[in-house]
Amino acid sequence: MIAGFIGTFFGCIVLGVPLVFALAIPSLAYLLLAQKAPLAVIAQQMYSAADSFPLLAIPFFLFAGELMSRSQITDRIAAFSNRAVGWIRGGLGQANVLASMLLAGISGSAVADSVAIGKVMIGSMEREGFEREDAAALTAAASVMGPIIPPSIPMVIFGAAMNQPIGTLFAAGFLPGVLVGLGLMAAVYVISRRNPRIRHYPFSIAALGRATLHALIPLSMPVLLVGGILGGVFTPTEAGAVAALYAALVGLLLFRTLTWKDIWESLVSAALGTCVVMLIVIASSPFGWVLSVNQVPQAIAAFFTSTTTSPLLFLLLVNVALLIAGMFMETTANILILGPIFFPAAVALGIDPVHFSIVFIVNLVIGLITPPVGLCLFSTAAVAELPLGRLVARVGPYLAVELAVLALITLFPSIVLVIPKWLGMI
Amino acid sequence: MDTGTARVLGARVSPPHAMKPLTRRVLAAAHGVNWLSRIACGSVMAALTVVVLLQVLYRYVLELPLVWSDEAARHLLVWLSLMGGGIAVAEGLNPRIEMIDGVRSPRVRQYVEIFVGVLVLAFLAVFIVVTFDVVKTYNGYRSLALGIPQSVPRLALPVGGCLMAVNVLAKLLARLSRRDDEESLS
Repeated sequence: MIAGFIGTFFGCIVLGVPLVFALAIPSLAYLLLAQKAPLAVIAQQMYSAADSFPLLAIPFFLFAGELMSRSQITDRIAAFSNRAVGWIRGGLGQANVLASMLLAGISGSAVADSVAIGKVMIGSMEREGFEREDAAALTAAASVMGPIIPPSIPMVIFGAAMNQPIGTLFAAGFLPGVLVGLGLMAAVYVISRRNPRIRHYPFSIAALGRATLHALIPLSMPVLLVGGILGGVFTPTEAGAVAALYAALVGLLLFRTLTWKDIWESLVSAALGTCVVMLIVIASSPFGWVLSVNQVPQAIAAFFTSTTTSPLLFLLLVNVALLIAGMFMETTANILILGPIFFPAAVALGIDPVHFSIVFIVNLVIGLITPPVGLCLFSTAAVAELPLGRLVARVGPYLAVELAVLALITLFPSIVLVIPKWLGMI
Repeated sequence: MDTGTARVLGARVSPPHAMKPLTRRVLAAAHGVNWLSRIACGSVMAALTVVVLLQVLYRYVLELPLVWSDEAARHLLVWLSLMGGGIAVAEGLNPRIEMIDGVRSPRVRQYVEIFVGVLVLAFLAVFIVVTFDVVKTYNGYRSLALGIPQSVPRLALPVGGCLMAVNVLAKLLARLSRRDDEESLS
């Protein structure tokens, strides 16, 4: 029975059924055929998955991000990044990474970041001597910081599902995210040495000062958002709503780059973005229920814990399993289906729950730039107007950097835990 | 962002005069429904923002926490989660693995697309019936803070199901009418 259930799921995936339906169809078929529970269970499961206060942060992070990109705040952040790090070898490549890092502090979605930065940076990187493929591959790789540096939609989903404090996860993601950024900058530096055509700006304190002044208000946004959450002033949901209000006011009144039409379109597109994520949340819930009724998580966890009692080996095995899952499946579904399988086993082995959560999330978001299913590769290829294959060939070195950071945070929990400890959260 | 029928269903749809009247009517219905749900999506998102901002204002500034805001926000989120479902189907926003699109034979691709459309439609039909039953059973219960029937937030499920079904059906019919064109071309 359960084999048929999983088989139906993979069958749907291969036939190109959208993930939402590929998750929901086997669950409904199971309830119809197994007769173990009334059909109403599926409706109840789905409803309670959506009826959640922590998940409310998702629409607001999307809304604030939309408002930012429509009010041309991304351009100001890019200009600031050019002046701040564009004088280092690798020029605009360095700036691309810094801009992604700063944008990651505002937005919680990697795909949105890759589009926003891609639009502003890829063309100008090409003019400064980068190959278009390389510029696009770097943009995709840097956008992975979006959901690692707070705020982060995957952390909201993970925290809500696994009952972990979302603010603590945000604090814990900060340092790994910055490490990814520094690693990417180092990679750009090394790669640019071999390409003499890549120019970099001369350093100018006056230009940096001007760009900083221009970007002061956008740059204060991550401070407000992340600071408010980490300082315990706001819940992530409230911080998201306040950030959206701030972005709307700045865009409408101060920069005058936003129109009411932009606000309306941002509302609609945040609503649609929320719908796409929430439909997967909703569809994953009966799917997970069927798995747990059939003791599948317990069986897999037992298999892993019987293979090893060493937390480190367990983490390595989970990392391999998640990297493979991340290559084929979308992040939200992976969190909601694999989270309940691995999380209890990790805690039972004595692994710190916050450490495990961050390793889990960083691993899955790296899946955003691994073929065949890498949503950030798709979005960046579309923005750069390049075939996917040419991008995949160039993303290798950056992917290696991110895997190295993943290995580091797996081996050294203190990288993850130092900031939450310092803030007194754990 | 507002799009005509041909855009909603992808650029590959045949011109309206080549379609059967039923197909044309379903496409028009999907278009109308999506136009309305776009407005509803934006309005619910706006309402949600106002509710949470009021909650912040009352809690931190006026120090007078609201009792109803949390519940209202959660109900709005449930509606938000499903109301865009039809547009998500029409615009192909739901992630899927596109392995099948790489199959060479257009005939195989077409059969698979039609099979997938019928499968999803069958699922949605059962989904709508089942979720609507649940809505009816909750009709008598009132929510704690707002005092509205608990069926109101749950109604989002069958409504979302219908929005998706209309669009899946429209896509399916458009796909079927495209076959004629392709065959006459080849």
